[in-house]
Amino acid sequence: MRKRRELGQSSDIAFLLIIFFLLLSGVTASHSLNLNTSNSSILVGEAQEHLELTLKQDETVLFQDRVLNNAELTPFLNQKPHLTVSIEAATDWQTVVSFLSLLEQYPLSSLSLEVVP
Amino acid sequence: MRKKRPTPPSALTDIAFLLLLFFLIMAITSHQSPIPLTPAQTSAQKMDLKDIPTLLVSQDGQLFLDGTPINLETLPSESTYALLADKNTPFSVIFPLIEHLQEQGTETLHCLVEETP
Repeated sequence: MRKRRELGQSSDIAFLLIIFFLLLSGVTASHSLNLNTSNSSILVGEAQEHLELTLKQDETVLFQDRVLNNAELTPFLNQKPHLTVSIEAATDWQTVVSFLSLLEQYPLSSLSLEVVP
Repeated sequence: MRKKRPTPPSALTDIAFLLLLFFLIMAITSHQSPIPLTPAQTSAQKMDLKDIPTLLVSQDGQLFLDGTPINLETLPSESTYALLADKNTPFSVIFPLIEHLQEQGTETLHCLVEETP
């Protein structure tokens, strides 16, 4: 009788542990970057600047054929520009996602993506 | 006549434990990707994407909607989609999908990523 009781206690602990891990896996389920695909990329007024950047497959960012690092990008992106990013066709999704993640930190008026050969 | 012994409470927790294990395994297997896929990694916000249809894009451009293979032409029109693509997928493979979604009126695309530690 005593032995059976101990067995029950250990399964109670296992039961609680499973509930804990079940809830934990539910909480950390999905992380996402939001990309607005509506036609907000069309310029409505001339108030904001239109900025065109090129993302190359080696992760470098070009502005008018000049390579910009993150610090150099900041003043451009802080002006709430209508941003068009031309992405090289062979650029992998990881590079694009990392750049989109960086752009999320800035107050862009709109974002438009293009692919270039 | 033999006296009926009462069911010990530990037996009930054992059943509950097994039931939980069963549902846990069911949940894990039902959420498995139909293709081997390594998501892109970045820091991103947590989202509840329970009711949002998920598009999967493999490295070679195969498209799946909630685990079922689908063509771009037969993709149903939705205002929001979640996109999970392999981190090595070239942008030239993903861009036609983004363009198509934009054309058919999708307003938000949640790019699913793996949270960087």
